Amino acid sequence: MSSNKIVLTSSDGESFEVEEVVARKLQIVGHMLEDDCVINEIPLQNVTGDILSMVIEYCKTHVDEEESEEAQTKLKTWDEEFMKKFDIKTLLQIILAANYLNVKGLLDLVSQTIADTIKDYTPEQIREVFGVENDYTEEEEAEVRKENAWAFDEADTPKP
Amino acid sequence: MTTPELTKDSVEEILCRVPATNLKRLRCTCKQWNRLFKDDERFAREHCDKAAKEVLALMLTEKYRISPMSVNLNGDVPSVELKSFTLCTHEGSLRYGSQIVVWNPFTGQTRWIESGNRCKEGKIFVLGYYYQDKNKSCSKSYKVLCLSPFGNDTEIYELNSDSWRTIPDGPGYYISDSGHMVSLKGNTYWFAREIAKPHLGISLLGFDFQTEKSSSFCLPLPYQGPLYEILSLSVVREEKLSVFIQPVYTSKTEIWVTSKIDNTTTKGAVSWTKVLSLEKKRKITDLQIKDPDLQITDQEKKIVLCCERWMVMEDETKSFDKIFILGEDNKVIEVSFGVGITEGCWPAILNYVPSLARVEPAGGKRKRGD
Repeated sequence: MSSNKIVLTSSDGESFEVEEVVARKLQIVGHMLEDDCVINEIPLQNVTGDILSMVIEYCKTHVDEEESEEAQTKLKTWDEEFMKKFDIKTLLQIILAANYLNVKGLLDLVSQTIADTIKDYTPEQIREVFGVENDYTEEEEAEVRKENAWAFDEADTPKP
Repeated sequence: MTTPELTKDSVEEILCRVPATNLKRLRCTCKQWNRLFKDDERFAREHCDKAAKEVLALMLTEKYRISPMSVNLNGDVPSVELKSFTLCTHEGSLRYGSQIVVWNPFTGQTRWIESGNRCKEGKIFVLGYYYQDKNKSCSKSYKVLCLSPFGNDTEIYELNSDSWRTIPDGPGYYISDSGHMVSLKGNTYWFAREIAKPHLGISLLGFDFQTEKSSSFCLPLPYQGPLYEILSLSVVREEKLSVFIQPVYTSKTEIWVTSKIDNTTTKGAVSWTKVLSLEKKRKITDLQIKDPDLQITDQEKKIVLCCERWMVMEDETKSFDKIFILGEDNKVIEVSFGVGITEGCWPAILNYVPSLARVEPAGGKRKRGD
C-alpha cells in the first residue's frame, strides 16, 4: 500500500508525485482518499508550488514519527533548521498552506516560529508584515498605549 | 512575494503563542488584536495553554504599592505555571468600609469584594483557584479564603457566587507566621502549629481550594522538631516550595527546596533537598529563590533574592529598603533604595506570572438567568 503514488498539483500547475503515506499527512488529502479510493491525482487550488514543495518536505520527514526520545530530539532539531530557512513572509504563506491542507504538526511549528519572530516587533512593523490596517483613531491608539504602561503608579492602583 | 492575508484562525494560532508581556505591546496593532487581549475568554484559555510562561518579580513597597522588579541575572528566568492575580487590601480599605480587591495587574481588571468587619478583626485573605474541568488546564475558578490566625472561623468567597460562606475549621492548627503564605498551583501553603501539640514545632500546612480542606497537605519539614528557626517560605518557579531556615546549632542558614508539587502530590511523595547554605551574617526577612531550569542547562545556578527594611538610626520615622541577591560561595550583591518615610507595609518580593486570566465580574453567573 505504501508504494501507491499520488500526484499533488498546485494552483500554478506544478505537480509532485509522492507516496500515499506522505500525501495522507495532508489531512485534506486524507479525507479525499477516504471518500473515493481511486483518486491518484489531486488538485490543490489554494497553494502554490514553491510552498507546496516545502509542505511536502516537512511531511516526508515526519512520515513515521517514532515515539523514542532519540527520534523525537532528531526531529526537533530538523524542525528548527527547517524553519530557519524562511523569512517572515514565507512563514506566513506556510501557515496559510498548513491551515488549508490541514497539517497539524506543521501548523503548530510554524505558528510558534512566527510568534517567536514577531514578539519583539513594533505594532508598526506588524502592520506592515501582516498587511493589517490600523483602524484606531489617533486618540484611541494613544489610550491603548497608555494602558500598556507597565508601571504601577498610584493612578494604576485599583480604587473602589 | 505579496503579503498573504491571514485568516482570523491563523492570526489567533500565532498570537496565542506570543508571551504575555510581548502580546500586551502588540495590542495597539489594530482593534481586532486588542479585543483578543481584552475580551476573549476562549483566546485567554488558548494563550494560557500555549504561550511560554514568564515570571516577573514584583515588589511590594511602602504605601502598598506594587512595582515590577527587573532583575537581570544572565538572561531569562524560565517558568512553568501561572499565578495570575495579586490580592491586596487597599490602603484605604478600612475607610472604604472594608472592601478587598482581586486584581489582575496585567489586564487591569479588578473585582471588589465586601469583606464586612473581617479586615478589622485581623483576618487574613488568600486567593486561590481550582480547576472546574480537570481535562482543561485553564478552566479555573477562583476563591478567596478568609482565615483567622487562631485557626477558627474559616470562610470562603467564591468569585462566581458573590457571597461568603463558613467552612468547617481546619485540623486544629493556628497560623505561625502570616507573613509567609504562598500560593502554588492554586493552593496556599503556610506555617502552622498544632494547637494540641505545640511542642512538635512548626508544620507546613497546605489548603486545597478544590476540596476546601487543609489536613491532607500537611508536609513534613526537612528537620523534625523545633530545633531551628524558620525565616521564610517561598515558591520556586511555580512548581516547588522552598524554606529558608536557621538550625540552632550551626553558624549557617540553609535553603531547602521540595521536589515538584502538584495537585496529585501526596504527603509522602514530597522530598527536600538542601540547595544552598550561607554563613549567617545578617538576618534576612524575606526572600525568593530563583533556580533556573535544570532541564534546560546543566549549569545549575542558585540565586536567592531577598529584601529588607533598614531603619535610619537617627530618625526612626525614616527607613530604606534593600535587596540582596545571594549566590553560592556566600556571594552577596546589595542594591539599596533611597531613604523613605516608614509607613504602610513591610517590603516583600512577589512572584507574578502575567496572564490574560479573567477576573469573574460580580454577579456574572446570575445574569445568564435574567
